[in-house]
Amino acid sequence: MRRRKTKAVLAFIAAAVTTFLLASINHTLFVLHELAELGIAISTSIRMQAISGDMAGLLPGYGAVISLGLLLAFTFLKFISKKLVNQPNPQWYWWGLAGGFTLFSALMLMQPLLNITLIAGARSDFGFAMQCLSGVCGGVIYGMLRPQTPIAGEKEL
Amino acid sequence: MRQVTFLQAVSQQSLICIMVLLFLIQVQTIRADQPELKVTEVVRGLDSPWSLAELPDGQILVTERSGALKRVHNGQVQNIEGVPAVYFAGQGGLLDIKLHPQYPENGWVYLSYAYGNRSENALRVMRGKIKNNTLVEQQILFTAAPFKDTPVHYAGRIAFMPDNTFLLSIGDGFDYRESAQKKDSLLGKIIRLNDDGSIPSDNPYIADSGTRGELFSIGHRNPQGLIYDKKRDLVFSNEHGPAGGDEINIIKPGKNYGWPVITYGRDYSGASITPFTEYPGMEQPLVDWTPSIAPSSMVIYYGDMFPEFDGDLLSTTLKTREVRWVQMQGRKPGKQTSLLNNLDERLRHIEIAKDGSLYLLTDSGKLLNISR
Repeated sequence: MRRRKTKAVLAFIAAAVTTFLLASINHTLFVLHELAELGIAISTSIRMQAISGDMAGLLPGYGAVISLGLLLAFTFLKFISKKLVNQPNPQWYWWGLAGGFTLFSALMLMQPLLNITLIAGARSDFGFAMQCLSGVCGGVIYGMLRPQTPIAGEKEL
Repeated sequence: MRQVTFLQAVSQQSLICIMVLLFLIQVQTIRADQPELKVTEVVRGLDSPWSLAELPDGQILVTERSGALKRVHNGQVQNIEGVPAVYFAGQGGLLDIKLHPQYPENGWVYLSYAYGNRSENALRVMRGKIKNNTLVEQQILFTAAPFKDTPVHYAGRIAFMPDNTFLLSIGDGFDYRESAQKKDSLLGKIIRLNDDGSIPSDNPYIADSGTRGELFSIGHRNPQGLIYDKKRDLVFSNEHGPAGGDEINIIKPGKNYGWPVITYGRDYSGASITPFTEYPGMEQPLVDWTPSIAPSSMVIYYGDMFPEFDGDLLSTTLKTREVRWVQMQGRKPGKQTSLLNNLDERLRHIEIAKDGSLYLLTDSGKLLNISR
């Protein structure tokens, strides 16, 4: 039981870290791409510095939003799959969908705060989709790593 | 034992006295540097006032962001009718007001405002004349293209030049920050127009193909202070950076002020705006305010009441709730002093009155007069 919980926590951490890293990298690459489109020369080392700097800068705010969002989404998915369809172990793609929905919801909820796009990397449709895809990847990681919940009577079958 | 003569003793005493005297003079000088400021409430209850203009007879016109133009006289507030409909949302609404340099002869009043709706809005400038308490003979002079779908970063400050042209600051619209570097867009620019809205033939980019002829300078974010300094023959501007990176700039025609390629600020999300604080062909700020003070308006003081401020920059601020006094040595900024922070008000606008006192507008709806 304890081992299963530990495994579930580790799977969640892996999902949150994956989602945040991909979302942060996507954000930075999008912003740098927009600058490059203006004719600004950006070397590989400057790009790498920007990526690592943004990870540190985004972690307290965006990182917290992503982690909390994924926790709510995964909890909700587990609850409805167990209660509504009597299936405590949804397929990996359902977890991916939950991860993608988390980023979609977070970005959509942030927009009305000031009627601006707080995550600059999500200003274009493509950038927005890439942020959501980051959540999908994190969700899939969780779906693949999470421990399976034993189904009642399974041992007897 | 060393003997001290009477003469030596007197000399030592004199030296001490001189030093004390010099210290007192120094203290007096420091005090004289910061004048006593007397704050008088002219009127309260204004609705998000944004800018004001003093008429030749001392009456004051105040814009309210919600779309009303008010006349303040002897503590009474009167509505001016016929003001065009504005897009009142976010930071948008009725913004700046300026009188034409020949206002006593021609009566033109210039207004900047947000125009449009949620999905398509822009900064617009019109002029009209106030007759029988109504804005008449209205002419729409300019609309900033392209339209945008964010209700923020309009800028909207107007400054007349000695040749009767006027400069207008246009914000980047926040989500369109890269447009500040694109010469076919008017977002994130300071533009120059004739007083009838036409484009002057000597604008800096007028001959460039694929470039808007209105452009005066590029690479701005949200310039809220814009003034022509008649004694130095210079244009000064201040603008909001993101988190950090607020600036004062000397605006010169054809120059690039760098946003969003260079800035000392970071994005509100904590991410960087850009990896650069310097880039070839882009101007460094005259003053960088990091962390942000959120400058909302600015004057260069020339007046009789406060000789201490002569030729210096006074910026109202929203975040630090003060008037930031930047002392100038020629074209170079020197010591900075925080004034009136005891008011604890978000200060929206500053204007020099004809008698040399200062008018301030607060976000809480007060019109204040600052005298000594």
